[in-house]
Amino acid sequence: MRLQLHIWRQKNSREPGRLVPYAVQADEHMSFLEMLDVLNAELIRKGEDPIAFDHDCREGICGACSLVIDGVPHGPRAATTTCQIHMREFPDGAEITIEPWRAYAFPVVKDLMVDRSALDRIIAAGGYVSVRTGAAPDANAIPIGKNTAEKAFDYAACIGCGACVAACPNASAMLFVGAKVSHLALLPQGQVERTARASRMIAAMDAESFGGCSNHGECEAVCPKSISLDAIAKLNREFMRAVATGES
Amino acid sequence: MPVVPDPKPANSSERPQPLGSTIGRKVVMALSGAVLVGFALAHMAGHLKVYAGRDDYNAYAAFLQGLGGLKWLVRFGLLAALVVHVRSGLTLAARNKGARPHAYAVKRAQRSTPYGRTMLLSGLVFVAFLIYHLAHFTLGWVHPQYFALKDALGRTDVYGNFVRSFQSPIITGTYVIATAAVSMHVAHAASSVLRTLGISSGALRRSCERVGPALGVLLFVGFASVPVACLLDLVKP
Ligand code: SF4
Ligand code: FES
Repeated sequence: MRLQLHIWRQKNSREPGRLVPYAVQADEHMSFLEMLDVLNAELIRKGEDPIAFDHDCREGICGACSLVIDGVPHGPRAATTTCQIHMREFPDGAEITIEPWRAYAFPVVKDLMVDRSALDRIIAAGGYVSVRTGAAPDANAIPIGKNTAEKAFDYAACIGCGACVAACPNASAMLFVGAKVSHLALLPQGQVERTARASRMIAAMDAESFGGCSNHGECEAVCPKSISLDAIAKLNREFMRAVATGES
Repeated sequence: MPVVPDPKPANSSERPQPLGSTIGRKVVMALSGAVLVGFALAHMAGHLKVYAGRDDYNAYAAFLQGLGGLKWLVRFGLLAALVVHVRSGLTLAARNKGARPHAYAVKRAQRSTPYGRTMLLSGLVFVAFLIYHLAHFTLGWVHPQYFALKDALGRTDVYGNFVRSFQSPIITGTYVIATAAVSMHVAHAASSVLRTLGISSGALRRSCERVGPALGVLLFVGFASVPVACLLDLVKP
């Protein structure tokens, strides 16, 4: 299949970028990233600068891949990362625009690659449980009900890709923060630091200049792990809990 | 001994200001908005009394005017709610705009609604309308010809002023447009409030998401029907 691509090229975070047209011959069984590999091989052959894009596992679990494909973060398939999109999703001769995640908090490193360490700093502010190191604790030493365990697991499924930020009209990180806060607030291990965690992570999120949540729901629609907006409702409850207990 | 600097500056994540945070502002905006929607519903129910005729309507208006201190308390409460609501809305809007300085060349909305994305516009249209509306019916500055009438009992003929005003297509048109703006605002806002306050989740989510559009339609029909009825001569002065 022949494709007409419009790809965002940008040298670094300081220089302005622009959309550059490329034609590429691809196979419908290729993944989206393999199609870009083919284009890059061609660019290298011609002595041109290959297109920089993030990827690692290429099996939908690491959260590195991050392309806005025709205006939708992670492309046309629901609950699917960019690396799991295949070219059969597109008609022959398709024109596809590819842009990076766009947010003040995600500066472009090069081309389609952005710096998402803002999300790491939010996690470092409280997205963990403090445990004493030593021998591994006994499995099942702390019983957790099945429903709670499953709910916590659903929130824990977040891979930190940042598509929620990319999709949000306000570039808000509420779904990401909500997923982590909810995950740990549901589990007994998370109780000790529960209130401090919520207020610290919210403060860290604000300090990174992410926007606020307007409840549009764009994040949930593009999240490759189908994290529910319930995470945001829960984050709001955890915030009010922190204010009420005076621990904010 | 070398001085080890504190790794965390005192104003960063250690001591957040809860009400100044994005979520804090959202909660404040949600609560003040809920007060305003509550008033809108009461106001709508009140002015539907026009359909009950001149006597009922003027008696109701006289009753409200007779509330004295309570009336002023409510007025100040509403003004405070409005000021707080607009302030948090503008602050958040500016922040949200700054969070995406570079727009996408192509962006396809998946879930958001046109009325949800135009909250700032519908809100500002409403504030402009509110000033006109108060100048019209409360202060009598604009259209004073509809303000001075008295009814047979010597009461201010609010009913007559009201119905005569809306015989003008321009006045009715203005009110219908403003009503549409408020209704669109509330259609997104009411459901948004429920999530901001943490209510809209789990089993309650679907019902909560219907509250906004339902209230929006209710407010539009309730508010727009009366001026339109006057314009079409279905209600006589
Ligand atoms: S919530 Fe979903 S979209 Fe956001 S970072 Fe986690 S996995 Fe990615
Ligand atoms: S490359 Fe790891 S999730 Fe796509």
